[in-house]
Amino acid sequence: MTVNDFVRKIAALGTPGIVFLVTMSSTGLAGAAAITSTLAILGGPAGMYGGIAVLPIIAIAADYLTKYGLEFLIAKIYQKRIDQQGETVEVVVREISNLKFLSEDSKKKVINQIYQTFSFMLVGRTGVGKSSTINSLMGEHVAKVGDSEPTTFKVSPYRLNKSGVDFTIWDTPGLCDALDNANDEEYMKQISEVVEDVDCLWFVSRLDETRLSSDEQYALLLITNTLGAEIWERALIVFTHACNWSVEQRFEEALRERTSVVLEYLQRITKKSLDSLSSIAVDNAFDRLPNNEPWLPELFTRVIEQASNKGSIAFAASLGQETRSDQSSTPRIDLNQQQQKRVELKLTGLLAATGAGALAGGIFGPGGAVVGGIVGAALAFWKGVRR
Amino acid sequence: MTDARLLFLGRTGVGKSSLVNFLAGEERCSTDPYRACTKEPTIVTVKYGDNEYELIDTPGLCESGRELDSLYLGLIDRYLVDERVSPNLVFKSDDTRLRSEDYQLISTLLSRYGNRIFVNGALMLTFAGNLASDFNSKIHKRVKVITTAIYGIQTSLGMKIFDGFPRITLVDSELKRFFDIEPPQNQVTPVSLLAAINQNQHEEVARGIDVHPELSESILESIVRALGDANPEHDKILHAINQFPFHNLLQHSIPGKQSADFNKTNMSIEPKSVYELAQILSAEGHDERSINIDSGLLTFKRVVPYRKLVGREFYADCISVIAYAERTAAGPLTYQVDYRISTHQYLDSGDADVDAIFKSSNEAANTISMHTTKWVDFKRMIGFPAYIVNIGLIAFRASVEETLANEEIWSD
Repeated sequence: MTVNDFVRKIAALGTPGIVFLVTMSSTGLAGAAAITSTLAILGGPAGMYGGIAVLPIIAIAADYLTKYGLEFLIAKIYQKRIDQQGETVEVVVREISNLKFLSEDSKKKVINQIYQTFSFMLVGRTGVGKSSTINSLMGEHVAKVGDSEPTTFKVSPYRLNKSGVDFTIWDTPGLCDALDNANDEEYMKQISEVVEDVDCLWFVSRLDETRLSSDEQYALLLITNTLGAEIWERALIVFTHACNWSVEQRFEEALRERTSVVLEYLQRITKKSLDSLSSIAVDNAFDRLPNNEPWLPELFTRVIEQASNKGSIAFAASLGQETRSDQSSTPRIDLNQQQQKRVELKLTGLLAATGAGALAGGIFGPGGAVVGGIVGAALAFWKGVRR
Repeated sequence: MTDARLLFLGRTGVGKSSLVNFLAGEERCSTDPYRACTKEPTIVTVKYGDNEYELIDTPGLCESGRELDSLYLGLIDRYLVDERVSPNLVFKSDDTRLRSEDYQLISTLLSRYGNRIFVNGALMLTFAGNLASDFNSKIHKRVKVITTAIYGIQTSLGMKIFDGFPRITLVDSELKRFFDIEPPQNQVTPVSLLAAINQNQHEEVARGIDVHPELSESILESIVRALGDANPEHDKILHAINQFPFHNLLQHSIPGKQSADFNKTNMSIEPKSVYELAQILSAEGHDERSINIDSGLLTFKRVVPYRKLVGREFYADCISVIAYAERTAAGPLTYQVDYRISTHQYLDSGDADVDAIFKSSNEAANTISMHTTKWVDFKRMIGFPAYIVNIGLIAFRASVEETLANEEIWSD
C-alpha cells in the first residue's frame, strides 16, 4: 500500500480516522486498544468500531506514523478530505482544534501544512509560452523560459516559495512533441506518480495556431487516460500569443473557436460534457488583450475558480496580497469588481458551509489559536474581496 | 494544354487551400481557420495570360494520427508519379521552431517520395504578414531550420543530400501578397561547401557549417559518394575532405572564441562553447584508451575526467558517442562514426543536455544553462542527432589530431 492509498483510506473514515491516528501516535496504543480509546474519545456509537477494525490499515498505521510523522499524515488526510469530500476550512480548523493529545503548536502546524502547497501541471508544446505565463502569474521567474529550442524532455518540477506557500510547477516537456509512442508509458508513469498533488492543470496552446495539432491531441489523450477525465475538473485551457497580428482583428472569434476545438476533442475522448472547463487568453508580451481587458487578474481569478479546493485556499493565501496595494498605486493583480465577486464566491464555499456570517465565529471561535499563517492569509484576502 | 502543374504539400493548417485560392483569385477550395477541412486533393485550373496552370491542393498531413496520413498520402501518390507535377512544400513562416510533427512530415515525405519532392518545387512560407519585425533574419532562420532538418533526415535515411530549395517564396494569402526575400546571406550549399573545402577556405566552410550545422564531413562524404567514382572531381574532393582540418572550423564558426581564450587552468569550469569543449577534449590526457587496429575499432574513453569536469552525464555520453569510431580503409584520417546506433544507445540510457549544447554553439555570448534532459528515443530527436554528431565529430577530430601530434600512432 502506498502512502497515498493509506491516506485515502483513512480520509474515507472522516473524523474517527483522524482521531484514531492521533490516539495511536500519542498514546502508543495499537490495534484494538487504540480503537477502544478512539471510541472512548469520540464517545460515539460502536458502529465506528467495525469501520476502523475491518480496515487492513491498522497493522501498517504504526509504520507510516514512524515513517512520515503524525503531522504530515494528518495534513495529507485533510487535503484528501477537502478535495474529495469538500470539507471547508471551518470544519477542518474546528476539528483539528478539538483534537485531544495534540499540542496547540502541532495543531497550528498541521493546519498550515494542509494549505501550504500548490502545484501546477503544464501541458503544451514547447515554445508556446507555458513558463512565461507561469512567470507572469507569479510575478517571479519560476520556470526556465525556453528560447528557441526545447528545454527539457521529461516531467520536471520547478519550485518556488511565495508568501509561505510552496509552489511546484510540473512541466511536461516533450509530451506534445513526441514523435512516436515508444516511451509514453514510462513518461505517463512519471506523471501519474506526481499527479496526486496537482492542484491545477493547464493545457497551453497558442491562440494564433490554426489547428489543434495531432501532437496536442495525442497529449490530451494520454493525460486523460493516465489521470482520468476528472483531471479536467481542475484544469484551465490557456491560449497564449493572444495579441498576435493574425488574431487581433478576430480575437473573440479565435478564442471561442480554438476553445471549442479543444473542448470538442476532450468531450469526444472523455465522453463527458466538461462544463466546468474553461479557457483564457493571455499574451506575455502585453498586459492587455486585443479587447483591451487586462488578462492577469482574470488568470488569477480562473486559477482560484478552477484549482482544487485546497489549492484555491493556498493560492489565495499566497498571491492574494498582490491584489492589494496602498492607495497610491495599482496592485500587480488588479481585480475588477466582478472578479472579486467570483473569487469571493469560490472562497466562501471553501471556507465555511454555514455561510459567510457564521464564518468568523466558526473559525476564530473559542480556540482562536489558529488564526494566522496560511489560513489567516486566505481569510484576510477573502475579507478584502468582500468589501 | 496545361503549362505546369503545381502540387502543394504540408501539415494541416499551414494554409495550402488559402494559398491555392489566392493564386486562383477566387475561393475554389474550402478553408477553415480552426479545423482541418481538406479531405481530398482538389485540382484548380487557372489561367495567367496565355498560360494555363493546374494547382493541386492536398489534404494536410499530421491532422490526427498516422492512419489518416497514410490515407491522405495514398490520395496524393498519383500526382507525384506525374513528372510534370512540381511539388511545393508549404510551411508556416511564423513558427519559431520545427515541431516534432514537422520532422515527422519531412521524414514521411522523404521516405515515401525520396527527393522527388524537391524537383522543380519551391519552399512556400505562408502567413508572412505575421512576421512583423526583423523580417529577413526570421525568414533566414526559418529556411535554415527547415533545410537543416531535411539534411539531417536525409542523412539519417541514408539518402542523397539535396542541394537546397531552388526557390523560396514568402506569401500571405490573406493579405494577398507575395514578398520578396533577399537571398539568405551565407547561403552555403553542399556543392559550394565542397568547393570551399577543395580550396582549403576555412572561413568559407565555417560559415557553411554555421548555416547548416549538419553539413559535417560525414554528410559531405556521402555527397561525394553520391557523385560516384566516375566523376572526375570525386577523388580530388574526397581527398580534400580527408585533409581538411574540420576542428579548425570551430575557431571560425564561433566568433570571439579564439584558441588563446582557452586556458588550461580553467579546466574546472564548465565549457562555454563547443569550441571549448573541443579544446578540452583535445587538451585533456586520455584516461583510458584502447586502439585495436586489427578490428579497425578505435576507442577513446575520456569519460572520467570529463564527467568530473562537467559533472553531467551528457558530456560523458556524448564523448562516448564520438569515441566509438570505425576506422575505414580510406586512410588514417578518415573515420566513419556510426552515430545512428551510438547516439541511440547512449542517449537512450542517460541524461543528456542537448539544449545546453545547442545554446552554447548557437550563441556567441553562450552561457550554458544546465539542466538534465532525457532523450527517450532516437526518433524523437530526428534532426537533432546530426548536430550532436557534428559536435562529436569535430571533437573527435581534435582528439585524433592531438594523438597524431603527440604519439604519431596514426601517421603513415
